[in-house]
Amino acid sequence: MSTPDKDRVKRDIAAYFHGAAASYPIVLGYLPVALAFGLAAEEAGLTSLGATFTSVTVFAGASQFALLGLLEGGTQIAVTVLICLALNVRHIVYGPSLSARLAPGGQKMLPFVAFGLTDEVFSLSMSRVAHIPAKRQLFWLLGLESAAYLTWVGFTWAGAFGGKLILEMLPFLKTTFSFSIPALFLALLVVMIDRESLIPVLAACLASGLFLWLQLKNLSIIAAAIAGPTTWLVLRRNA
Amino acid sequence: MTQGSLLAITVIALGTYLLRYLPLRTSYRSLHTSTNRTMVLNRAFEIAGICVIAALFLHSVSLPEGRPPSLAALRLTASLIMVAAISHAWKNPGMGVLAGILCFALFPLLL
Repeated sequence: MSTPDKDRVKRDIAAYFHGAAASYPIVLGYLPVALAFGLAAEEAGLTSLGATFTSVTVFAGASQFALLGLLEGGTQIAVTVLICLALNVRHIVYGPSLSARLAPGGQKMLPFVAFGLTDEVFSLSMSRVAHIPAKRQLFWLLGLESAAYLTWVGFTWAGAFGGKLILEMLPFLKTTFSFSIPALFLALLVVMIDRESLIPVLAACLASGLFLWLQLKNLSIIAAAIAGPTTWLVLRRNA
Repeated sequence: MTQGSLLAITVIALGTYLLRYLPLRTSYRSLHTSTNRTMVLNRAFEIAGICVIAALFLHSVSLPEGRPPSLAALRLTASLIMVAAISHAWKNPGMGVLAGILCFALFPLLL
Protein backbone atom coordinates (compact mmCIF):
# COMPACT_ATOMS: atom_id res chain seq x y z
CA MET A 1 0.00 0.00 0.00
CA SER A 2 1.43 3.41 -0.98
CA THR A 3 1.86 6.19 1.59
CA PRO A 4 -1.10 8.33 0.37
CA ASP A 5 -3.32 5.20 0.58
CA LYS A 6 -2.10 4.47 4.09
CA ASP A 7 -2.83 8.04 5.13
CA ARG A 8 -6.30 7.85 3.64
CA VAL A 9 -7.07 4.61 5.50
CA LYS A 10 -5.75 6.15 8.73
CA ARG A 11 -8.01 9.18 8.30
CA ASP A 12 -11.01 6.95 7.52
CA ILE A 13 -10.40 4.88 10.65
CA ALA A 14 -9.97 8.05 12.72
CA ALA A 15 -13.28 9.38 11.35
CA TYR A 16 -14.98 6.07 12.20
CA PHE A 17 -13.84 6.22 15.84
CA HIS A 18 -14.63 9.92 16.01
CA GLY A 19 -18.19 8.99 15.00
CA ALA A 20 -18.32 6.19 17.57
CA ALA A 21 -17.20 8.60 20.30
CA ALA A 22 -19.85 11.14 19.28
CA SER A 23 -22.58 8.54 19.85
CA TYR A 24 -22.54 8.79 23.67
CA PRO A 25 -25.88 10.64 23.95
CA ILE A 26 -27.50 7.85 21.91
CA VAL A 27 -25.77 5.13 23.91
CA LEU A 28 -27.09 6.63 27.16
CA GLY A 29 -30.59 6.60 25.73
CA TYR A 30 -30.46 3.09 24.28
CA LEU A 31 -29.12 1.46 27.41
CA PRO A 32 -32.35 1.25 29.47
CA VAL A 33 -34.63 0.84 26.43
CA ALA A 34 -32.63 -2.11 25.08
CA LEU A 35 -32.50 -3.70 28.54
CA ALA A 36 -36.27 -3.30 28.84
CA PHE A 37 -36.78 -4.79 25.37
CA GLY A 38 -34.64 -7.84 26.19
CA LEU A 39 -36.53 -8.34 29.43
CA ALA A 40 -39.95 -7.91 27.78
CA ALA A 41 -39.02 -10.26 24.92
CA GLU A 42 -37.95 -12.96 27.34
CA GLU A 43 -41.23 -12.56 29.24
CA ALA A 44 -43.19 -12.67 25.96
CA GLY A 45 -41.69 -16.08 25.25
CA LEU A 46 -39.40 -15.01 22.41
CA THR A 47 -36.34 -16.56 24.18
CA SER A 48 -33.08 -14.69 24.66
CA LEU A 49 -31.85 -15.84 21.25
CA GLY A 50 -35.05 -14.57 19.59
CA ALA A 51 -34.80 -11.22 21.38
CA THR A 52 -31.21 -10.76 20.28
CA PHE A 53 -32.01 -11.88 16.72
CA THR A 54 -34.78 -9.26 16.56
CA SER A 55 -32.42 -6.48 17.66
CA VAL A 56 -29.66 -7.69 15.33
CA THR A 57 -31.91 -7.71 12.25
CA VAL A 58 -34.60 -5.05 12.82
CA PHE A 59 -32.82 -2.34 14.90
CA ALA A 60 -35.93 -0.17 15.34
CA GLY A 61 -37.15 0.25 18.93
CA ALA A 62 -40.83 1.13 18.56
CA SER A 63 -41.65 -1.59 16.05
CA GLN A 64 -39.72 -4.17 18.08
CA PHE A 65 -41.88 -3.44 21.15
CA ALA A 66 -45.01 -3.54 18.97
CA LEU A 67 -43.89 -6.87 17.52
CA LEU A 68 -43.70 -8.35 21.02
CA GLY A 69 -47.21 -7.20 21.88
CA LEU A 70 -48.63 -8.51 18.61
CA LEU A 71 -46.89 -11.89 18.84
CA GLU A 72 -47.97 -12.26 22.47
CA GLY A 73 -51.55 -11.42 21.53
CA GLY A 74 -51.59 -14.07 18.79
CA THR A 75 -52.15 -11.60 15.94
CA GLN A 76 -51.85 -13.03 12.40
CA ILE A 77 -48.32 -12.88 11.01
CA ALA A 78 -49.30 -10.78 7.96
CA VAL A 79 -51.09 -8.23 10.17
CA THR A 80 -48.12 -8.16 12.58
CA VAL A 81 -45.74 -7.44 9.70
CA LEU A 82 -47.95 -4.70 8.26
CA ILE A 83 -48.41 -2.93 11.61
CA CYS A 84 -44.69 -3.01 12.38
CA LEU A 85 -43.79 -1.72 8.91
CA ALA A 86 -46.41 1.02 9.21
CA LEU A 87 -44.68 2.10 12.43
CA ASN A 88 -41.43 2.43 10.50
CA VAL A 89 -42.84 4.36 7.53
CA ARG A 90 -41.51 7.57 9.11
CA HIS A 91 -38.00 6.39 8.18
CA ILE A 92 -38.81 7.28 4.56
CA VAL A 93 -38.16 10.97 5.28
CA TYR A 94 -34.79 10.39 6.97
CA GLY A 95 -32.81 9.51 3.84
CA PRO A 96 -33.74 12.58 1.79
CA SER A 97 -33.19 14.95 4.76
CA LEU A 98 -29.79 13.47 5.54
CA SER A 99 -28.76 13.36 1.88
CA ALA A 100 -29.14 17.12 1.75
CA ARG A 101 -26.30 17.41 4.29
CA LEU A 102 -23.98 14.78 2.82
CA ALA A 103 -21.25 15.51 0.31
CA PRO A 104 -21.46 13.57 -2.98
CA GLY A 105 -19.22 10.62 -3.82
CA GLY A 106 -19.96 7.88 -1.31
CA GLN A 107 -22.63 5.79 -3.00
CA LYS A 108 -20.93 2.45 -2.28
CA MET A 109 -21.33 2.96 1.45
CA LEU A 110 -25.02 3.90 1.39
CA PRO A 111 -26.32 0.32 1.83
CA PHE A 112 -24.38 0.06 5.12
CA VAL A 113 -25.25 3.56 6.31
CA ALA A 114 -28.96 2.99 5.62
CA PHE A 115 -29.17 0.01 7.98
CA GLY A 116 -28.38 2.06 11.08
CA LEU A 117 -30.55 5.08 10.31
CA THR A 118 -32.72 5.06 13.45
CA ASP A 119 -34.57 8.09 14.89
CA GLU A 120 -31.71 8.97 17.21
CA VAL A 121 -28.88 8.34 14.71
CA PHE A 122 -30.71 10.43 12.12
CA SER A 123 -31.21 13.32 14.56
CA LEU A 124 -27.65 13.39 15.84
CA SER A 125 -26.12 13.05 12.38
CA MET A 126 -28.31 15.87 11.04
CA SER A 127 -26.72 18.27 13.51
CA ARG A 128 -23.12 17.09 13.21
CA VAL A 129 -22.41 15.56 9.82
CA ALA A 130 -22.07 18.88 7.97
CA HIS A 131 -19.09 19.75 10.22
CA ILE A 132 -17.21 16.58 9.24
CA PRO A 133 -14.81 16.80 6.24
CA ALA A 134 -16.69 15.73 3.10
CA LYS A 135 -14.62 12.62 2.37
CA ARG A 136 -14.94 11.31 5.95
CA GLN A 137 -18.66 11.88 6.50
CA LEU A 138 -19.82 8.36 5.73
CA PHE A 139 -17.07 6.75 7.85
CA TRP A 140 -18.02 9.07 10.72
CA LEU A 141 -21.67 8.09 10.23
CA LEU A 142 -20.79 4.39 10.21
CA GLY A 143 -18.86 4.83 13.48
CA LEU A 144 -21.84 6.59 15.06
CA GLU A 145 -24.20 3.86 13.87
CA SER A 146 -21.92 1.00 14.92
CA ALA A 147 -21.66 2.23 18.52
CA ALA A 148 -25.44 2.75 18.71
CA TYR A 149 -26.07 -0.67 17.13
CA LEU A 150 -23.67 -2.54 19.41
CA THR A 151 -25.25 -0.89 22.46
CA TRP A 152 -28.73 -1.81 21.24
CA VAL A 153 -27.84 -5.45 20.51
CA GLY A 154 -25.58 -5.89 23.56
CA PHE A 155 -28.08 -4.53 26.04
CA THR A 156 -30.96 -6.46 24.45
CA TRP A 157 -28.95 -9.59 25.09
CA ALA A 158 -28.12 -8.45 28.64
CA GLY A 159 -31.78 -7.65 29.27
CA ALA A 160 -32.93 -11.04 28.01
CA PHE A 161 -30.41 -12.86 30.19
CA GLY A 162 -30.37 -10.77 33.35
CA GLY A 163 -32.54 -7.70 32.86
CA LYS A 164 -34.66 -8.35 35.93
CA LEU A 165 -31.58 -8.60 38.14
CA ILE A 166 -29.96 -5.47 36.66
CA LEU A 167 -33.09 -3.33 37.09
CA GLU A 168 -33.63 -4.66 40.65
CA MET A 169 -30.03 -3.78 41.57
CA LEU A 170 -30.09 -0.37 39.86
CA PRO A 171 -33.74 0.81 39.93
CA PHE A 172 -32.81 4.42 39.12
CA LEU A 173 -31.34 3.32 35.79
CA LYS A 174 -34.65 2.98 33.97
CA THR A 175 -36.16 6.32 35.01
CA THR A 176 -33.02 8.42 34.82
CA PHE A 177 -31.68 7.23 31.51
CA SER A 178 -35.12 7.14 29.90
CA PHE A 179 -34.96 10.95 30.08
CA SER A 180 -31.98 10.93 27.73
CA ILE A 181 -34.09 10.28 24.59
CA PRO A 182 -36.26 13.45 24.84
CA ALA A 183 -33.17 15.30 26.10
CA LEU A 184 -31.27 14.26 22.99
CA PHE A 185 -34.01 15.43 20.61
CA LEU A 186 -34.35 18.77 22.43
CA ALA A 187 -30.58 19.37 22.49
CA LEU A 188 -30.34 18.68 18.75
CA LEU A 189 -33.28 20.95 18.04
CA VAL A 190 -31.71 23.82 20.00
CA VAL A 191 -28.42 23.45 18.13
CA MET A 192 -29.98 23.14 14.66
CA ILE A 193 -32.81 25.62 14.67
CA ASP A 194 -32.17 29.01 13.01
CA ARG A 195 -34.22 32.08 12.11
CA GLU A 196 -35.29 30.64 8.76
CA SER A 197 -36.51 27.33 10.21
CA LEU A 198 -38.23 28.70 13.35
CA ILE A 199 -41.72 29.28 11.90
CA PRO A 200 -41.70 26.03 9.85
CA VAL A 201 -40.71 24.12 13.02
CA LEU A 202 -43.56 25.76 14.97
CA ALA A 203 -45.98 24.78 12.18
CA ALA A 204 -44.58 21.24 12.25
CA CYS A 205 -45.05 21.08 16.04
CA LEU A 206 -48.66 22.22 15.66
CA ALA A 207 -49.36 19.58 13.00
CA SER A 208 -47.57 16.90 14.98
CA GLY A 209 -49.36 17.90 18.20
CA LEU A 210 -52.72 17.67 16.45
CA PHE A 211 -52.00 14.12 15.26
CA LEU A 212 -50.74 13.13 18.72
CA TRP A 213 -53.94 14.52 20.23
CA LEU A 214 -55.91 12.41 17.72
CA GLN A 215 -53.92 9.36 18.93
CA LEU A 216 -52.31 8.98 15.48
CA LYS A 217 -48.78 8.84 16.86
CA ASN A 218 -46.98 7.49 13.87
CA LEU A 219 -48.61 9.84 11.38
CA SER A 220 -47.55 12.79 13.52
CA ILE A 221 -43.95 12.45 12.29
CA ILE A 222 -45.01 12.41 8.64
CA ALA A 223 -47.33 15.38 9.31
CA ALA A 224 -44.40 17.36 10.73
CA ALA A 225 -42.21 16.44 7.76
CA ILE A 226 -44.85 17.77 5.38
CA ALA A 227 -46.13 20.81 7.33
CA GLY A 228 -42.68 22.28 8.07
CA PRO A 229 -41.21 22.46 4.54
CA THR A 230 -44.60 23.45 3.09
CA THR A 231 -44.71 26.43 5.48
CA TRP A 232 -41.14 27.31 4.51
CA LEU A 233 -41.98 27.18 0.79
CA VAL A 234 -45.05 29.39 1.31
CA LEU A 235 -43.05 31.91 3.35
CA ARG A 236 -40.27 31.87 0.77
CA ARG A 237 -42.70 32.53 -2.07
CA ASN A 238 -44.34 35.45 -0.20
CA ALA A 239 -41.04 37.02 0.87
CA MET B 1 -39.52 -18.95 19.00
CA THR B 2 -41.96 -20.32 16.40
CA GLN B 3 -41.42 -20.46 12.65
CA GLY B 4 -44.12 -17.79 12.23
CA SER B 5 -42.32 -15.41 14.60
CA LEU B 6 -39.05 -15.98 12.77
CA LEU B 7 -40.71 -15.23 9.44
CA ALA B 8 -42.36 -12.06 10.80
CA ILE B 9 -39.08 -10.78 12.25
CA THR B 10 -37.23 -11.45 8.99
CA VAL B 11 -39.83 -9.70 6.82
CA ILE B 12 -40.02 -6.71 9.21
CA ALA B 13 -36.21 -6.47 9.21
CA LEU B 14 -36.08 -6.52 5.41
CA GLY B 15 -38.96 -4.03 5.06
CA THR B 16 -37.45 -1.64 7.62
CA TYR B 17 -34.12 -1.77 5.82
CA LEU B 18 -35.72 -0.97 2.47
CA LEU B 19 -37.69 1.92 4.03
CA ARG B 20 -34.36 3.38 5.09
CA TYR B 21 -32.22 2.50 2.09
CA LEU B 22 -34.34 3.25 -0.97
CA PRO B 23 -35.20 6.90 -0.13
CA LEU B 24 -31.56 7.52 0.90
CA ARG B 25 -30.21 6.07 -2.34
CA THR B 26 -32.71 7.86 -4.57
CA SER B 27 -32.32 11.25 -2.92
CA TYR B 28 -28.52 10.99 -2.67
CA ARG B 29 -28.35 10.59 -6.45
CA SER B 30 -30.87 13.26 -7.36
CA LEU B 31 -29.88 15.94 -4.82
CA HIS B 32 -26.25 16.12 -5.82
CA THR B 33 -26.69 18.17 -8.94
CA SER B 34 -26.34 21.93 -8.71
CA THR B 35 -29.44 23.43 -10.30
CA ASN B 36 -31.42 26.12 -8.49
CA ARG B 37 -34.36 23.74 -8.15
CA THR B 38 -32.33 21.07 -6.39
CA MET B 39 -30.84 23.68 -4.05
CA VAL B 40 -34.37 24.66 -2.97
CA LEU B 41 -35.26 20.98 -2.64
CA ASN B 42 -32.11 20.43 -0.59
CA ARG B 43 -33.04 23.18 1.86
CA ALA B 44 -36.64 21.95 2.03
CA PHE B 45 -35.38 18.48 3.01
CA GLU B 46 -33.06 20.01 5.61
CA ILE B 47 -36.01 21.88 7.12
CA ALA B 48 -38.06 18.67 7.00
CA GLY B 49 -35.28 17.00 9.02
CA ILE B 50 -35.37 19.68 11.73
CA CYS B 51 -39.19 19.43 11.82
CA VAL B 52 -39.00 15.64 12.22
CA ILE B 53 -36.65 16.08 15.19
CA ALA B 54 -39.15 18.49 16.75
CA ALA B 55 -41.91 15.91 16.24
CA LEU B 56 -39.74 13.14 17.69
CA PHE B 57 -39.20 15.33 20.76
CA LEU B 58 -42.95 15.79 21.19
CA HIS B 59 -43.34 12.03 20.77
CA SER B 60 -40.79 11.08 23.36
CA VAL B 61 -41.43 13.55 26.16
CA SER B 62 -43.62 12.31 29.00
CA LEU B 63 -44.13 13.02 32.69
CA PRO B 64 -41.74 10.95 34.83
CA GLU B 65 -42.98 8.62 37.56
CA GLY B 66 -43.38 10.28 40.96
CA ARG B 67 -45.86 11.92 43.27
CA PRO B 68 -47.22 14.56 43.28
CA PRO B 69 -47.54 15.09 39.50
CA SER B 70 -46.74 18.80 39.89
CA LEU B 71 -43.33 17.91 41.30
CA ALA B 72 -42.74 15.43 38.48
CA ALA B 73 -43.65 18.16 35.98
CA LEU B 74 -41.26 20.57 37.71
CA ARG B 75 -38.48 17.96 37.54
CA LEU B 76 -39.09 17.42 33.83
CA THR B 77 -39.30 21.15 33.05
CA ALA B 78 -36.15 22.01 35.01
CA SER B 79 -34.20 19.23 33.31
CA LEU B 80 -35.39 20.23 29.83
CA ILE B 81 -34.46 23.88 30.50
CA MET B 82 -31.02 22.67 31.59
CA VAL B 83 -30.64 20.66 28.35
CA ALA B 84 -31.67 23.63 26.20
CA ALA B 85 -29.49 26.14 28.07
CA ILE B 86 -26.31 24.05 28.03
CA SER B 87 -26.80 22.96 24.40
CA HIS B 88 -27.35 26.57 23.34
CA ALA B 89 -24.46 28.00 25.34
CA TRP B 90 -21.90 25.34 24.36
CA LYS B 91 -23.30 24.47 20.93
CA ASN B 92 -22.82 20.84 21.93
CA PRO B 93 -25.86 18.54 22.18
CA GLY B 94 -23.90 15.83 24.01
CA MET B 95 -23.02 18.16 26.89
CA GLY B 96 -26.63 19.32 27.03
CA VAL B 97 -27.87 15.74 27.34
CA LEU B 98 -25.37 14.91 30.08
CA ALA B 99 -26.25 18.06 32.06
CA GLY B 100 -29.95 17.29 31.67
CA ILE B 101 -29.58 13.70 32.86
CA LEU B 102 -27.57 14.91 35.85
CA CYS B 103 -30.26 17.47 36.72
CA PHE B 104 -32.99 14.84 36.26
CA ALA B 105 -31.17 12.35 38.50
CA LEU B 106 -30.29 14.83 41.25
CA PHE B 107 -33.62 16.66 41.36
CA PRO B 108 -35.35 14.22 43.79
CA LEU B 109 -32.36 14.47 46.15
CA LEU B 110 -32.68 18.25 46.34
CA LEU B 111 -36.26 18.12 47.61
